Amino acid sequence: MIYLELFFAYLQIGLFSIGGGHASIPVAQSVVVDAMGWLNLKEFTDMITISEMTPGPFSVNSATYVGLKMAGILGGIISTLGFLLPSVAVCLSIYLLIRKFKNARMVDGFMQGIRPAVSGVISSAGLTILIFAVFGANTFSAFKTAFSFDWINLILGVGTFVLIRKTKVNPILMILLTGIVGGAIYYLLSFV
Amino acid sequence: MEKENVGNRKVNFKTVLRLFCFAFYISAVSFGGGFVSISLTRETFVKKLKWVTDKDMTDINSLAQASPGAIAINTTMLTGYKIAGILGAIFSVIGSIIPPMLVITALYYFYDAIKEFVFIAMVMRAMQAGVWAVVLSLIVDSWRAVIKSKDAFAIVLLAVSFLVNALCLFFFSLSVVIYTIILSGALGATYSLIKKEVKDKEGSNDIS
Repeated sequence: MIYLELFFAYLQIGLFSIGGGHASIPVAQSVVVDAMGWLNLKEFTDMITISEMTPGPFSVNSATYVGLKMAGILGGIISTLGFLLPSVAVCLSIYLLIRKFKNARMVDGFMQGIRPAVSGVISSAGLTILIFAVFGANTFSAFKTAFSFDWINLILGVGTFVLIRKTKVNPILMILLTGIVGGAIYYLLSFV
Repeated sequence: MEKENVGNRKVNFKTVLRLFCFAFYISAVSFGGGFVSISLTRETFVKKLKWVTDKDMTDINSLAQASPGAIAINTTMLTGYKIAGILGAIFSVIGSIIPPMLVITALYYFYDAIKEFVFIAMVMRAMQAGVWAVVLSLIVDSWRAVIKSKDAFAIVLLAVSFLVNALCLFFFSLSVVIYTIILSGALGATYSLIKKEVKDKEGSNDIS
């Protein structure tokens, strides 16, 4: 039964993708490509690329895609639910557990250590996004082959940054606005 | 217990519906991974709406990263729970998975037709600039908050975890997030125990 197979495959992926970011890629690869053979390696790599360009986490994108390919729209929904179930359950349980014991000195100290470290982690990931958008690559090895300086992107980003800091515009609106204005600029410059 | 989660805001269907809409919007514009979504969630719920405190949001982020699954969805789910209990969590998750599911489904069926629209690719490329600008703004805020606290322990942890994570990502494409969280948590727990011991000693000296 393909629906059950999809559900349990993504249940596994959901349970073992810890650490976020691209942590779920190797897990998904071992299940979807190596164990089940639902995608070949080329299709899997294409999916990573599509996922980079579209909104949403890689895992939800891949669950939808693989589910669709194997069993249509219902398959896509079932795989996604399979992925969500363990992560949502585990995450909520830990949250409730920590809230219950938040007055215990150890738990409090633990959280006090994590808070600044998480800010550091988020900063490093944020910087990666910036470098990738402006220079076309964000790792040392990729710099050698894929380096390209996109000055339009840099100007757009700096402009948006200044507007966000100086005004109280909704950030989501700001991103959409930058997309439309910047898209038009890219489009016009492509004729030059 | 449930009441406490909810804080003093009245939770009604409207709140849950708004949570759904915010999760939907945030997810729809979060190009570039979970950390973008984290930043937008913070920007929306902490800075604009002030429904969640800064400290609570940081705790949510920490847990979202330490738990299995996608960071973006865990963050949205816990934020929804914090604001409106279990119903808030469910609707936030549904709101945040609909946009990627729709986009992938559309791409799956109409990829060849969509490919022709060069303009869409350009808008998406420009949106990346907007995304990193928002993220950068939040980085500035979070560093400022930690430095302002004048807590040397926190400042060192922030700087070290930033450097180690950035360098590992750049040179080795390696994510050390999970080790960072476990190690910094252990350091924090040890530090608080040492601090308590020192305090206790000072306390007993005062008495004598």
